[in-house]
Amino acid sequence: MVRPLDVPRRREGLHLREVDGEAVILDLHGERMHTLNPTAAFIFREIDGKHSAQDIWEAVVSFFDVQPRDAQRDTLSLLAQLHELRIIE
Amino acid sequence: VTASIARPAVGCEASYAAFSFPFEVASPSPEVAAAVDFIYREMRAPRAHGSTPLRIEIRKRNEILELSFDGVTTASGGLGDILHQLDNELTIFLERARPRLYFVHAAVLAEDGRGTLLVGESGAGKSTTSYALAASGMGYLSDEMAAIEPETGRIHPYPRAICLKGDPPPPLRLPPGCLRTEWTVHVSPAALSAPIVKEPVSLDRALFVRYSPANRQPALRPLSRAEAAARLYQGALNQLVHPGLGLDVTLELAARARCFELLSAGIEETVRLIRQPAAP
Repeated sequence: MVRPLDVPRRREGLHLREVDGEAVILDLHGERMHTLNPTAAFIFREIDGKHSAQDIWEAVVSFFDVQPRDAQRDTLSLLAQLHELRIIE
Repeated sequence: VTASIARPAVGCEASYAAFSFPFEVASPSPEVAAAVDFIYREMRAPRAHGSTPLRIEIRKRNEILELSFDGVTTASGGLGDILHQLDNELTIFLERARPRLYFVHAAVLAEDGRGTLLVGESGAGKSTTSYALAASGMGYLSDEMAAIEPETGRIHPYPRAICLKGDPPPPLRLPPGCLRTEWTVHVSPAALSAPIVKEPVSLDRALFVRYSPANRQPALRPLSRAEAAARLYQGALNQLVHPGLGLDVTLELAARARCFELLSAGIEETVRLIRQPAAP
């Protein structure tokens, strides 16, 4: 579970390419490849080890036409997935 | 004398080439040599002069076949085991011999010089679909391996015999003269009347095959470039030898091709969907 004040960081060993607003992440350690849609790619760009989960969903609110409650729910959900996939820590 | 020591006399020997790389296969058993030739016949090439071809020998020892690949004994067993291992060894060898090419585990068919890749994991229906497409008259380049030039997107042919795990589903039928082993059925593309394409074609479409018995109608679902690149990367065989771990070349190839997920269903309907003039 990711909490609002948690500061997520990308794990090492990830190789990222962005294309047409989407992202491709190669995880050499996990030997897996992931794709992120434009919204998820935006959130992933905000994960820099400095901004909290709350900072990130607030950035989502300012960039996308979305209600804060939806942005919070979707951001926390994505962060939890990325954590489970060991893409962030 | 040295040559005769290094190369013991063998009964049958034939020369082939894949991606301009020569290889020779020799066996004292005419049956084994004929089986190998059945599979690689479309790659026959004049004996190489001035270069050392890859040397493959298949010997019989106490009724067990033994594969010697480039001087190293790598497998023993029945004909099916040996042919399977030979194919695996050859694939790996060619990837190393031609590292500039981007290899994908895929079938390749073509029409009017435009190539269609069929990419799919084992069991996805890639071989059956490529068999059906070849039987429908689409040009045949490979049922196993696509070797793509990263700079141009040209796909080189690897026209070995089509390898099926069993009889194809009706209404498809096997033509006469197939090669059956313990594990597989090999069909000469010539026996299907498929045009055998021996020149490179341009990469036009990449279809990522997914079969589900629940699919009632086949469908082509467009893929984004990122999604297509991720799938292509997963099907690639030598992506890591390319710069940037092969990510950039994969994205470039995904951008060159029209990419779809092929939800295959009945084989006739699937072939019709892929080949229809208005197909995406």
